[in-house]
Amino acid sequence: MSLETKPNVARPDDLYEAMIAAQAGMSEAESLRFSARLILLLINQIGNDALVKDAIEAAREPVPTPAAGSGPQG
Amino acid sequence: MTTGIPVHRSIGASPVGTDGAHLETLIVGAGPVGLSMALDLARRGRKVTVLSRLDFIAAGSKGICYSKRSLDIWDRLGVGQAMVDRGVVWNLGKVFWGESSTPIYEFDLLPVKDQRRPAFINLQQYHVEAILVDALGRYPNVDIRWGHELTALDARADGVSVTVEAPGGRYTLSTDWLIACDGNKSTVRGLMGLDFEGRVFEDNFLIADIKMKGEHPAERWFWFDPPFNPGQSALMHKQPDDVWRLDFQLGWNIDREAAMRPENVEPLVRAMLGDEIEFEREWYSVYTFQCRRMQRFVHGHVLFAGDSAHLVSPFGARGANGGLADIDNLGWKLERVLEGKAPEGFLESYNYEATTTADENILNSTRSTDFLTPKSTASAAYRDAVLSLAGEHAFARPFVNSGRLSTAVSYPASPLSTADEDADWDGVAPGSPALDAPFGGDWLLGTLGGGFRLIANGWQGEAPVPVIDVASEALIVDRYDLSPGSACLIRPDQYVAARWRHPSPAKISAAIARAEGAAA
Repeated sequence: MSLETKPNVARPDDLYEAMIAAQAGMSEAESLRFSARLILLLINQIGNDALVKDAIEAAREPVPTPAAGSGPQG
Repeated sequence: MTTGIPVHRSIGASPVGTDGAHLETLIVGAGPVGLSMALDLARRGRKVTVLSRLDFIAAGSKGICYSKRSLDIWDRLGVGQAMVDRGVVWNLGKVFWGESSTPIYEFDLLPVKDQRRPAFINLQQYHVEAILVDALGRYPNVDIRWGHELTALDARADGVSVTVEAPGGRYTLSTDWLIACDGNKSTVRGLMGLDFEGRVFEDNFLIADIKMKGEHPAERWFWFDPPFNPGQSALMHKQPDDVWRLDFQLGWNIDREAAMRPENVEPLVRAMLGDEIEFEREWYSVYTFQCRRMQRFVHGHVLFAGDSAHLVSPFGARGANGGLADIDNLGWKLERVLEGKAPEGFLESYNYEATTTADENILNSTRSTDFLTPKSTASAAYRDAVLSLAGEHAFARPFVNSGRLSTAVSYPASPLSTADEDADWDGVAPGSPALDAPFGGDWLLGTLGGGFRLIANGWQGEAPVPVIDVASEALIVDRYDLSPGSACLIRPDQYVAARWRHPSPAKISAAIARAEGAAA
């Protein structure tokens, strides 16, 4: 099984709203902890170590690659 | 003379050695690792000399937790029962969080039952050393030199010359092999200009070993963020003689000298155990730790074992137990080199297997430490998320890491193992430690002893090693997946070397040759 990156939920707007609403009024620290709890629950639901690691990789924002031939500036 | 170290047992300085004498094997250091190394070689009939910097057994409690694997090794060395008789047996760990007196997580460290030894015993290091010293006293081929300190060293390609300072004067020795078991501040390592690689952790922990009449069970109790040490962790462990090990996380920027003064320790103890308790101080100290190892443990004819070679955090009991794994691995190999049965290059397998063990211990102890002392906001958030979920949801409990306690390490890619020729195996794979089970009113590991053995299920061939037939032992057949006619070759350190559905004398001989370094 590979990481599902195509649309896979029926009502994305509902889920997005629910996730934001759950964190309404939270401080940054509370929100971070909430997100960590949520992610741990979802990790366990996935139940597949390799898929979770793929998801961790996919969650990293791509590092912009410098254009070919460009060197240090200034 | 070294002063200020409390004495458990006075012994007195040994006389100055003969200047220029030549030895076969010199062990530097008389802690649990050095003494166990000496006992292993002594039981193999080798002559061995041990240098102990102190002329007494020190009383300060250091290591206390000895694993099942260490007990198995000590059984092979004839001292396992003495250790268990003197120690406190335990199998269960409990983890608490915050104010609740209900654990959020419990773990049984010996999930596979029907083995001779428990998951752990707790035993003060000085009791361990005393038992080993007494056992060594029965071997005329062992010479422990008390109060003798190695101060200079010249390591050559074929041996080592050393200078020793003793209360009666200085003398020199040469030795074919030197085994450095001289601890984390290893003089040998320093004199050779060698160092560790790895991480140093910025945290301080207080050990308070106290004597009290307590009603707590013999279990490992660990707290995250308890009310008596807010924001930090704490640990409580039972030792023999009504001694309890209390361990408090203190944080990084503290006055270490002040932290171990009784007027600062005792309020912490009372906050943990109650104002009314009566206790006596046994030993207070503050420690920091590192998770590091030498790049190599074999340097010509100088071999490193134990803390001289690798350091871990104490959460996991992987220090002394890791050192005992080293000497277990080294003894039979060095014996074969000393006897000329194996080339010196065979010891490269010690380097490989012992660094493999050290890496697993360092990995586990680093992970535990990162859970205990989160290094970033995100790390702290995930740690707290795990703790807050663990009480309600079983899935989160295995994420709770208060120390992954020491178990024997496998070497799946060891060059000494013979790969399975059949694909259908369960059971104990080559490169893994033999699993104990009852055997004919005794125990399998006790029956194996310290040489090559074949565990077979009704195989009738001519084996080049002693055969232990387990056809009538259903549990062993099951644990090793030994279908009728199959067999499993065990190394002298009780690791599986090879196994066959269809063994033959030629296959067994080839596997023994491989395990004795023929492929080195």
